[in-house]
Amino acid sequence: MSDLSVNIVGPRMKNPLMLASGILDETGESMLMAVKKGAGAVVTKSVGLEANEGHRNPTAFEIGDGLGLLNAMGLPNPGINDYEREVKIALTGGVPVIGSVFGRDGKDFSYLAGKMEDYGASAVELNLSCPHAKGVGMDIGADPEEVGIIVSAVSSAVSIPVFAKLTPNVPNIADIALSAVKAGAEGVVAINTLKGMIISPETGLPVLGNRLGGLSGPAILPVGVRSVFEIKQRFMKEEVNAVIIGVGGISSAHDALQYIMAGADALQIGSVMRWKGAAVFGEIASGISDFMDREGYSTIKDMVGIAQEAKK
Amino acid sequence: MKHSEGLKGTDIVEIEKVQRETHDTVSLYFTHHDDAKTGQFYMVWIPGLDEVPMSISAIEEDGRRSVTVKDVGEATHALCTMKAGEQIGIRGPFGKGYTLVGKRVLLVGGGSGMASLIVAAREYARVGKDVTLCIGARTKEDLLFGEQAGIKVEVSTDDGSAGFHGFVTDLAERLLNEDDYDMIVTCGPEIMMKKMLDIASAREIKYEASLERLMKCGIGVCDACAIGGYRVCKGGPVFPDTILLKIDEFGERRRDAAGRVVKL
Ligand SMILES: Cc1cc2nc3c(=O)[nH]c(=O)nc-3n(C[C@H](O)[C@H](O)[C@H](O)COP(=O)(O)OP(=O)(O)OC[C@H]3O[C@@H](n4cnc5c(N)ncnc54)[C@H](O)[C@@H]3O)c2cc1C
Ligand SMILES: Cc1cc2nc3c(=O)[nH]c(=O)nc-3n(C[C@H](O)[C@H](O)[C@H](O)COP(=O)(O)O)c2cc1C
Repeated sequence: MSDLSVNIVGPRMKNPLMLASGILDETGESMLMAVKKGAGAVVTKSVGLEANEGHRNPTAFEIGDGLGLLNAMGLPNPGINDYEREVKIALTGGVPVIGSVFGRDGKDFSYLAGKMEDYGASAVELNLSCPHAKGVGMDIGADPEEVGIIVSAVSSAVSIPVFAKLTPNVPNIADIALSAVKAGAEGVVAINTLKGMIISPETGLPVLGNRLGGLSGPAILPVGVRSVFEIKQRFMKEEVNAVIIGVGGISSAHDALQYIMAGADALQIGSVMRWKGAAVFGEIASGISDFMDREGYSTIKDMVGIAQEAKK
Repeated sequence: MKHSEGLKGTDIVEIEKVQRETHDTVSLYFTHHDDAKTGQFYMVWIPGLDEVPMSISAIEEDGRRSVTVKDVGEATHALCTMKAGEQIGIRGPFGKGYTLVGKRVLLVGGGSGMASLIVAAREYARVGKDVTLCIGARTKEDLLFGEQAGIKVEVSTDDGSAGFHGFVTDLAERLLNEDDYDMIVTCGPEIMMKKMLDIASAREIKYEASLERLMKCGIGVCDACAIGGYRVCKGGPVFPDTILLKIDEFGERRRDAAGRVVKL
């Protein structure tokens, strides 16, 4: 029998599938729903210092019948003080809760990460990659040096594992990943959404309230797999032993396996819930398990990064 | 929409007809070819301004649709002042509609909730069910959809200017005392819907309600309209008594645009 469990965020996860930040996780009750449907861990909505209403509607929509989602939510969140309630509720699900936070600098991030640690989070994820909010997210996360400074500040402020969530909207995602890990991150999460825009020709206007947004869902899978592959390749070259969490466009076990074989130790699932609901966690977990039984893999680790060794 | 037709965020439609319903409520008619069902909603884009959830208030086989908008703020005001020929964007239909079960049905509505409930009332009547529609309003001037062909309508007003003088829930209880019903369907202010849930469960009558929460994506990903682990946009807006009885925030609390818990 194949063993799906992985050990990367402190407590062991029964499977490598996490709920991705920002999809059905602003409230504790919704995170519990994902746990009930089989998520091995949940990542919270990205939370900042103050309550934030986010951008004006339209904030998200589907494009091309299941192809993807374009969103510019604008990081709505109740603020870190009010968020304790949600983390506490999520924790009753009995799986690790990873607190996602966003801020402007090392000081903001350290404070927020400390709060998440106090609330009981097993790890923190630093949102250095949201493409549609001013002065935060990828505005600061596209520069390897700045990422290093922030990660280093947070790593010395908390004792739980720190993960840096990266943007694909750069030419050098592996440089940023390396910088994060050298500054003390346990690992990286790749990828956040791709910058995008949809215009309605009839009105001559971009449809999103914020005009610019982030593309997610099935359409971005190849970009995510490529990003994880490049990061793993660099980690191997530099002999760095760090965790990679793959995210972006995963809808099936087949998709999840691509990320694992590119180098991901665990995975996050987001947009696909638009089409398959939270039941997709169970579906993907059993699909991976069937594949492993069929192909003779006994642990997830046995498959991690095997595409790296394939002959060119 | 298929990829081959191009990728769009919303379907642009032209308003074909504007019908004033009350002093603050207007119906906008347009054509949108879809498989809309009773109780579903659209996300309606006012280009360049905002996008808001609106129940589908008429569903015709030829694709004619309407939304019925009450002027309560910036976006709804813009919709209420639109003219035939102007454009809006339509996403949807979204959500789970009414189950349309029951033979002797009491529908209880108030305010803009009538926009959704009226379609259920018409559909029950069309398939020959015994329907009684209770409409609550503040005054006679606020009464929405007061006269409907083939449907028994009972009215209540807070000031007694039309029909029963008092709460629509008291009117509904009076009707329940006089006759047997096997289904209660409600859409309107949440306090009213909560009261009707209590009444229905005390009398062991099946019940469903169409809820409102602040909505953003409309497609079940962003969690803005969360209630008790469900999303109103996808799990609802129509929920059965069995679920609502287990959600302690129903009739008590909601979330603001930042996701903070606030009292209703
Ligand atoms: C599923 C659903 C169906 C609806 N159907 C109808 C309908 O058929 N007819 C109708 O007139 N109204 C309907 N509404 C309510 C309508 O969406 C809001 O009145 C509208 O969004 C208010 O926007 P505004 O800019 O005019 O007002 P604002 O100035 O934004 O707010 C005015 C009031 O409306 C509430 N509100 C604001 N935004 C929303 C939102 N996105 N969702 C719900 N409430 C909100 C606020 O809490 C406030 O009390 C429906 C709501 C939902 C969730
Ligand atoms: C509606 C929506 C909201 C999101 N909010 C956040 C967020 O708050 N923080 C974050 O790090 N990523 C956020 N993301 C990005 C996702 O976590 C994920 O990285 C991305 O969507 C790719 O994965 P997917 O294709 O499985 O959705 C959001 C994505 C969507 C669609």
